[in-house]
Amino acid sequence: MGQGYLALVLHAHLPFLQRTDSGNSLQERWLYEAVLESYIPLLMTFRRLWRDGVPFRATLSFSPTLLGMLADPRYRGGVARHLEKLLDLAEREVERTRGSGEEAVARWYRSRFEEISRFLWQEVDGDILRGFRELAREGCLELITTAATHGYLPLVRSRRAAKAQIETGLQEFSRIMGMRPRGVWLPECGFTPGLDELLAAAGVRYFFTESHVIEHARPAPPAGVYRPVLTPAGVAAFGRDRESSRQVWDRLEGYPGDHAYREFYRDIGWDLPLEAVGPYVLDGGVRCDTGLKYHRITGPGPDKALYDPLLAAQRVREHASHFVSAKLAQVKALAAAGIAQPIVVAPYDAELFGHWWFEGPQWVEEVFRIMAGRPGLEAITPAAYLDRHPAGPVVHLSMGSWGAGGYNEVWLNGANDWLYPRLHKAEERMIGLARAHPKATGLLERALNQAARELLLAQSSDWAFMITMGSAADYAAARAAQHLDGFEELYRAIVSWSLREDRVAQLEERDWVFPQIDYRIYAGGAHGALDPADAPLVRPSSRLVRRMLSRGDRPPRRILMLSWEYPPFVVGGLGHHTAGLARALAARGHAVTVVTAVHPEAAPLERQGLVEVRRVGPPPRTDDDFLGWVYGFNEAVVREAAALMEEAPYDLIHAHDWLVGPAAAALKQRFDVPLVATIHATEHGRNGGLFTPLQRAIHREEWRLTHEAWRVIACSRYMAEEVSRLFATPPEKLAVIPNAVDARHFGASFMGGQARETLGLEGPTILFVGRLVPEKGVQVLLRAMPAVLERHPAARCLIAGRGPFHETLTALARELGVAERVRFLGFVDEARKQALLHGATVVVVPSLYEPFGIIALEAMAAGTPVIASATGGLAEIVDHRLTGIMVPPGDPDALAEAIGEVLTHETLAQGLGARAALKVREQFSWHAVAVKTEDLYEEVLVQLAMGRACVDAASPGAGKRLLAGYAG
Amino acid sequence: MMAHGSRLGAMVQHPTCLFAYWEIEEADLAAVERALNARRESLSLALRVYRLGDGGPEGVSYVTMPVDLSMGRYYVNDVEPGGLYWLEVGVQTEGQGFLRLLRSNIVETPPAAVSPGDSRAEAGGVAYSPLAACG
Repeated sequence: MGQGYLALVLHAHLPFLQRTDSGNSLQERWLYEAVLESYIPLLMTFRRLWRDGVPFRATLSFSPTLLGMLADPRYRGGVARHLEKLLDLAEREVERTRGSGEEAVARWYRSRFEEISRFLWQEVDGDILRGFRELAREGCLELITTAATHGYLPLVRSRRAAKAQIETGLQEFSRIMGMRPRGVWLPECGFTPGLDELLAAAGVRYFFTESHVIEHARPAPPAGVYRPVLTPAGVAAFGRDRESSRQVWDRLEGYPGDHAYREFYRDIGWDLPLEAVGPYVLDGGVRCDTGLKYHRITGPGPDKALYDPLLAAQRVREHASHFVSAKLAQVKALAAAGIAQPIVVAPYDAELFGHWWFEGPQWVEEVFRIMAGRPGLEAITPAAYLDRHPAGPVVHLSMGSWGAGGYNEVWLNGANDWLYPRLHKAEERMIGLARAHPKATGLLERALNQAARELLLAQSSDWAFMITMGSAADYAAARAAQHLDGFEELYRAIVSWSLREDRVAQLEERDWVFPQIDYRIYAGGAHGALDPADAPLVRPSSRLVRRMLSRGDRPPRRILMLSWEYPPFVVGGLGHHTAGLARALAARGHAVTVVTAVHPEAAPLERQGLVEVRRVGPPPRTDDDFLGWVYGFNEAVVREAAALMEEAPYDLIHAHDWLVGPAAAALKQRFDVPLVATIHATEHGRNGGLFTPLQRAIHREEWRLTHEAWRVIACSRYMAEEVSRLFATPPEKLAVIPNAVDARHFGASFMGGQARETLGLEGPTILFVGRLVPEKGVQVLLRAMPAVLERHPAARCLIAGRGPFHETLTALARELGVAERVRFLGFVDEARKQALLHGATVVVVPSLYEPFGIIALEAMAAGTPVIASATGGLAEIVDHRLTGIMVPPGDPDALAEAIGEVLTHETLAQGLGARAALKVREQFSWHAVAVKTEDLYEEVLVQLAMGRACVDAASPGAGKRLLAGYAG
Repeated sequence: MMAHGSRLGAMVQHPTCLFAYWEIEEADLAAVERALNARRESLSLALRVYRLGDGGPEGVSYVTMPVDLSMGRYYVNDVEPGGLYWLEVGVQTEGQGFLRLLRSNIVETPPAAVSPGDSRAEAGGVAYSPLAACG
């Protein structure tokens, strides 16, 4: 590679266009023109480049609505009929112009349409998407998509509605293109803080946005838009290069305005008498563009010279050469400024090329041909760039778009603002419907799905855009209103139980997009439960983060942290988590006091920097009077903490799990301090239900803690849904903050070979680390071992950990005849665990229930390949075949096959391990978790202050009483 | 809280302008009339714009402006870039001050205005949009 990269990105989009009986409406012709003038010429360009061995790379975004139409045989038929009419018209034009100066142009058009027809039927069998897919498989094109109906996401009200736009779009792309895109095009490049979290949750690796969204980020990215940055959610953002845009878009300076190029606004549909073009315009002889345009731009005046394709081709070569030279100079200057591996992202609407700028596809072809012979500038796709170079630094992006003014004015102004009250109300109603009917079937399910379609269609950015531009504004307003009316009609029918099958069928026929849509996406996650995404899309925390960053630091807070476990007293992962978080918060300047249970090996008062640990109460016991001990311990916690709070107030209490719930609630109420709770696991989840009085009592205490807390933290989305389902926790109270590992413990201290030597490991080693309880799934691993040993007789399985299931498991190993190759190591201390994780060939996490799965994260940090059950939080940590392998929970055959694959293919194993280690460093560090927790604390404190400010603003007397009645 | 159909929404148009829309249901208006013993024509509706200032959670300030009940929407100009805002619609009374009826969601204005010519549409003109000349 030379000095830099160029990423050409073309975004193809049309709104969903309803069919008419004639197939010849103005709107249907938009699609035909886009296909015949832009998409096919671009595909022809790319295939020529590929056949000639030109090393080109480009990114194409197809909107889901466009894809749906391109894949539909009825629309394809319309394109074919339109092309036939063009061939017929061109033939007539050759006759009509015979002997005149226009004849050569008419003949040229006839040849062009014949070439397109030949290509369409002989090379791609009438299916242009097939052509694009083939080039994607060759690695020349990267295909991506956008929000379902191109909804302008910064103005969508709720996270859930934005999520529905994103995930429905991805689902439709997968259905039609047979692949999952790695990146997305944000409609209108519109970004707002919070969107990145939804993209990350949908598995999206990158997106594009407007230059100033990147440039205004905090902290300011040193490479500007010339290297992708990473959002806090872990998604890469590529910024548009202004210079590249100006060279193509600018009306005055841009290439398309050259006088040799074809004049868009002179079309025979308007120039010729109606009898000459009657059959080729709209039904009823209404004039429109035909696609035959005989003139070149010539100049600003009305007199236009005839189009000369050879002259235009000459200009194309000059402009392409100029563009490549400019990009070379640009990357050279960037490299000289110290920006390593700069990438110039040049995104355009695909329809610019061919439809508006007739010569655009030729220009694209020439650019790539010229680049191939000019070292120093390499064409690349964003995904390929990210495979080679990591994105970064982590920054907080602000709102912005590529519309006029750079923000939301195009989609929100006096002409179109009437849309939003209706859209937002429809969002709320759709969410309510989905929650009220989680298991609808038959006609009700169809109606709910259709309601979701109507809402998505009403959200298309196109309607607001066209109204603003005054271009087909009446049509756009009518379409938006039609979909909103359709939604409201369905809503009323559903809530009044008055659905009519014939009416639902009519709407399905009219607006048939997204055949696989599932309205339940508005109700929450895959489990159908509520999820924390049910909150406004735009939230204040992001602003606070930036404010703090812009000041260089955050206000130090005094945090009172309550946890029954704290090292050296460790039962599960809770103690390590509390300690890791307390230290990371202290490292960021906060004063943290931890009140925990006494331990014989630890002092009652310990100071570790800004972390103060106070150990109180009777020693922990787990016998029959466990609950009695818990309440005694909580009394001691209250006494200790109350004395501290009376001395110097704390800003916030953070309680970890139900064992400190009673104390946390009492302190919160007594001192009027907000409470944040982390639920690490639930009694119901651990036991698969509640079967004993103790379990039910613990369940009640867990509920009480979630009820008392201002915000509830869960370590994974899975866990958040469980909490929401079990305790009816309102979604806006829930937050997901993952656990973390200290990557330093798993990095340089033990390299794989060294660890293996230290531990005396020989041959392929399969490792399990965890408690020996049924939900950890060790029995599944043992049942997989016979098949593993058949392929890899030298393999050994190490089981590290202890628990009540130990005897059962050793008996099972004997029964399966694998006892010789399975070793139960018993409890291993932290150092030995780290060594084992480094020394193992593969680490298996076969859990049946796993809220988070910290051991998977630790193995990933060690760079050891992980095979994990696709359950609970594990599914959110491991990216299948990228940072590990996922297998169905409880399936020994699938597990054996995955272990065999990792043991057989060393390069696969190395790749999984390396990518996993990188992911852990970037996303699961204690620093990252502390920052997210800080965000949450600040949000709570802001909300608290807002509530107090409103009370202060209220007047006394009757006014105050009224206010209380109407308090929001 | 007012009946579930009454609402006040806040949106960001650009760094110095917010858009507010509201809808107050008939039942809620009737309740206000009863509570204040006043006819709705005589109610002075006001929009209050709150800003979270640089003082952190403690630094909340606001301005109040009269609006018409029937307007239903309003552009709040001259807000500051990079600010956190929320809105309230209420009744301005004599002696009892501002009585909040509705509170909006919280919005955040982006940090700074973009200089003209930066955006696609201003640089290139909307003429290149695929839909711009579809009429």
